[in-house]
Order: sequence, then C-alpha cells, then structure tokens
Amino acid sequence: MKLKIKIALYLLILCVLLTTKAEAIEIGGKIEMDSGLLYDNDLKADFSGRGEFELYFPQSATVEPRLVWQLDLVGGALETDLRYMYLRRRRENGHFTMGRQPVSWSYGAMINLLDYGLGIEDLGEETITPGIDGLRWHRSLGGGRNLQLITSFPGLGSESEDLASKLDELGYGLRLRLPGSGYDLSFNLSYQPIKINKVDENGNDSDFEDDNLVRAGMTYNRDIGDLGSYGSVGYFHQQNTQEDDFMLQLGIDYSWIVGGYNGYGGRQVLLQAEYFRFLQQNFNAGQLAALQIGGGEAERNTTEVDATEEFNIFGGGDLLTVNLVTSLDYFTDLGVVMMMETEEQQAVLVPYYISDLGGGLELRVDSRVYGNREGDFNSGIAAGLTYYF
Amino acid sequence: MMKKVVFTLLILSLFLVSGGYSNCVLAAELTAEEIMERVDENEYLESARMEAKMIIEDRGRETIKEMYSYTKGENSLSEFTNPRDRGTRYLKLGDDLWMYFPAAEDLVSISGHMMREGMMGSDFSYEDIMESQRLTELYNFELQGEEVINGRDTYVVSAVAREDKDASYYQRKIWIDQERFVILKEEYFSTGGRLLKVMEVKEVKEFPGQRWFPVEVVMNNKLKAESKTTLQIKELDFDYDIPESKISLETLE
Repeated sequence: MKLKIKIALYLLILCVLLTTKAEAIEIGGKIEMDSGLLYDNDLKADFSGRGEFELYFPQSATVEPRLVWQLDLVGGALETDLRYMYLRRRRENGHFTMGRQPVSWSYGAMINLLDYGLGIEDLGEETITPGIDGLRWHRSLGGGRNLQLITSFPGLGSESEDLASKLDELGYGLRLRLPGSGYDLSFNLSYQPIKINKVDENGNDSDFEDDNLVRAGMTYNRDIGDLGSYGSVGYFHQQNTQEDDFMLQLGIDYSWIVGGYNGYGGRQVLLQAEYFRFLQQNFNAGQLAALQIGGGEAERNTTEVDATEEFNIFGGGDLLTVNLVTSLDYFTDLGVVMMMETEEQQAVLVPYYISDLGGGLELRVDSRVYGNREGDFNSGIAAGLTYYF
Repeated sequence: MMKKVVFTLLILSLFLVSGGYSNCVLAAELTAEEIMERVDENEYLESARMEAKMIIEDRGRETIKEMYSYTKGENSLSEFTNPRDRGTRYLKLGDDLWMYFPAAEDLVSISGHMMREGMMGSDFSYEDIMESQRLTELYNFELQGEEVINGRDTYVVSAVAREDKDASYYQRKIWIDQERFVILKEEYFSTGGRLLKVMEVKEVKEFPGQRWFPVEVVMNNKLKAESKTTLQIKELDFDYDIPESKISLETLE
C-alpha cells in the first residue's frame, strides 16, 4: 500500500508537471558525502552519502507545488524517498497545503521542543525539519500575525498494509504567531500520536507502545539592546502514562568583532547560548527527538559519529548548549559547540570547520569528544563534502 | 622683479585651479545640501525591482551570490537565487530584519547586532545593502571641493551623521559626478575618523528619464586585507509597481 500511495502522489505531481510550462522547470539540490571515524573502546569507520533533488516550478499566483526527493546510500545500498511533496493553494488571506511538507515553528533556538516537527539543529549545521504528512491551513491576521492549523497523518509513512490504519491516528497542531516591531511571540499547541520504544529486561528494543503527546507553550524572541534574547515555556503531557512536565528555556545570541576597529573590520565572533530544563525531569529532549511524529523522519541520515553522543546528552534534564563561531575569512567558519548536561554530568565538545571551496563545493570537518562522570569517553571525527547545484 | 611677478601669477593660477577657487565657484552654484538632494533624487529608490550579482573575493578565492530584490521606501525584500543559497530571503521592515529559510519554510527575526555584519559573508553589511533612507535625512553636508574621478568631474562632499539620526556610518566622503549627480566613490569613516570602507563605482548607466544609476560597485573593507565585493546590477526597474502585500511578513509565510 505504501507503494500505491507513493504512485498516487507521483501521479498528482505528474499532473501538475503536465499542466506547467516544461521549459520553466528547473532542478537543483545538493549531493553530500560524509565519512567518520569513531573511537569508543574500538575504532569504527563510517561512510554515508546523500543526494537531495528539488524541482523548481514557475511561480504561480494560486497553486504552488513542491517536490523534493532524496537518495541515501545506506550500507552500500541506494534508497530513495520523498522529503517534501505537496500542493499549496494560495488565497488572499493565507494558504492551504496538502502533502508531505516542512512545518517549522522556529524562533531562533538551537533546540526547539515546541516545534510541531520537533526540529533540532544539527550541532552547528542547518535545522533538520522532518516532513509532516498532512494538511495545513495558514490564515493571515494582518501585520504579520497569523494562525496555523495542522492535521497530520503520521501513519502514512509506516510499513502497514492497511490504509485505514494508516489514517487512523491523527495529529493536530495550532500556532498563533504575533510578531511585532523588535519582537516575535508565538503560542503553540500540538496533540500527536507517538510510539514509545519499549525495552526488555536485557535492555534491548522489544516493541512499540502507542500513546499521545500534548505540548502547549509560548516562544519569544526579542532584542535587549544589542543582545538577542529568546526563550520558551511549555507544558508536556503524555496521555496514557499520565506523565507531565513543564519546560523552561532561555537563550541569548550576541556578536562582536575581535581585532578591527570600533566595531568594524576584524573577525566576527558569534555566540549563541541556551539553557533548558524539564522541571520534574519526566521528559527529556533525547526522548522527544527520537519520536516518530510526522511521518517523514526517516529522511534524516547521519553518520554514527554524529548520532552517538547527541542522543546520550539529550537524555538529561538540564542542558546547556553553547555555539561559538568565527569567520576565518569570507569563506571559512571555525566554531565549537559545547553541550553540558547536569543529571549524569555529561559533556560533548564539537569543534567544526566549514569552508566554501568555490564552484558549489563546501567542506565540513567536525570532531566530537564525549565524556561523563562514570569516566565513559568516546571521540570521533567526521568529514563531509557537499556539492550544491 | 620679473621673477616675483611670475611666482605671484603661478601661485594665483594654482589657487584658481585648486579647491579654494572651486569652493568659491561651487558654493555660488550649488550648496552641498542641494547637490545631495539631486543625488537622492537620482539614487533613492522609491519603488524598484532589481536583479544583481555579488562577487565576493578574498585572498584569491571567489564566490558568487545572485539575487533579486524589491524596494519600497524603507522596506525591502531580497531573495538569493544561486544554488548554495537558493530561496533564502531577507525582509527588512523599518528597523526590523527577518530571514526566511527555504528548507524549513520558516522565518526568524534577525537580532539587531547582526546589522553591521557582512551580508552573506560579503564586504557589504546588512546596513549597507538595506540602507533605505535618503542621505539628506541622515547627514549634514559640507562641500570640500572638486576632483576628477575616472575622467569625470566630481564634487567632493563630506557628510557627518546628524546627532538625532541612527546612520550606518558616522562620517562619509562622497565624490559626485557633476553632470549626472551620481555617486562615483565613497569613503566611510568611524567616529574616530578611521577609514572603514571604500566604495567605488565602476560603471554607471542611463535609465529612462535621464536618470543615471551605478550598475557596478566595488566595496572594499579597509579593515580586512585583500578582500573586496563587487555588486553588479543586471536589471533595474525604477517605479516598479510593487503590490502593498509583496514586501511583508505574509509573503514569506
């Protein structure tokens, strides 16, 4: 059935293509190759490749299609999947979108636990926004204020053969965004079916348990003089287990010039730091990030080096994340991300180097050093080359 | 005696062709304020659409950014079209700057401290690119003289930011084409008088209505060695009819 749904969606896009001027369609995207070495008692090597392709359709005043698909090189085999595929109908006071789409409720934070798609910035890289299979209605309220309503079908991406069961569970989201001069304020509410990974006595994954997660919160972003500040407060509730918790997040960003003269020239240094805490420690970011809530999460491809420490450290209750980055020249950034968690006293240090090599090529090298109070330690280095076209 | 007369004539002629004479004559013709009003008439974009290319060079390396932008008064919308940044948009609404991320289809408010940073890693800051007020609203001017730049006669005007205005640079030295009233060169200074950047116009073009506008500009950050950014305007439509809703947060959502 999954194949049938895909075929139906491809046909939908094909209809759009056939009714569009073929000469105006462009293709673009990127091809990435990553390799990594991880040391965790023994040395592991890792390699992954990924291609992302997007068709750029001519602008239309009423209907906007978007088609992004990707190829992943996993264990020597190529897999293809849709990242985004939707049709958007624009009206004077908003739009309606149907299909697999990005739903991002960002406000500048590196870790956004109130995002409908639970986007988490990939340590100094772009935010990973999972595709949401669903319907979204965006209503403009004037002056940049708007209301979004979402219904998602997370089961569409599952392997189940039964369409009815795929459409059985629905997620709902609502966001009221109220930007103004010098600030951005949002109220977010979401209700989503989730699958919780059960673990047997031996600590192995055994089965999934269904539940529903409710998240309600407020996010803000505001300048205080030259200092950028942002934050969020949220309430999380898991329906079946009756677990709940409050989350508090505070963040700042600031940039200054080292060298140069009186704020000009020299080398720009950008600092972003944020702290969050679940007050009762019933939830954590790692648990939330691992949830399959949108239907399109499988698109995330990461090396083992990337994945290992990230989810360990997100498992704690308090988390301080600092990103410090400077430009070595117009083409090269050198930065370091530090993450510190208090419950198990874990820390991850991720120095990274990104360089625009010209001709659409970008080089990225990062290394990771992880340690905790138990004396566990691992480290790794990864390098990636991306070609944009 | 003859030598004294010749020497006096020489001094007098040098004075006549120098700034002293020029100042007297120019002051009688146009004041610095009037010159800058003519420049604003020419270069201020009331409502325009532009397609441009930005070539960033630093120590032998080069990268190219392409974009188009809509400007209406103090608001503007720019979208990048080169592969690396395709779909990235900047929206300036008054003093607020928003950035749109195409992958996530979401926009985030950019903190005020970023406005002096190089836009997309170039020698142009966000302030340089998005400066949208008339220079006559931001600065007081003084006519300093005249010089020849690339074979064109220019007025040389110094500009000092008005105390009540939040100008990008405290002080500027501006070379203005005497015939076309278009800026051919600018030097930007800090409050302490230090030279920060130099902008040179490499090409100007006449548009309908005998309006001249710079179409190739090189910005050089003097505090960064060996770097420069060239902005080439490929297409420019003055008085472009931009719908009210085009430059708005709604457009990006």
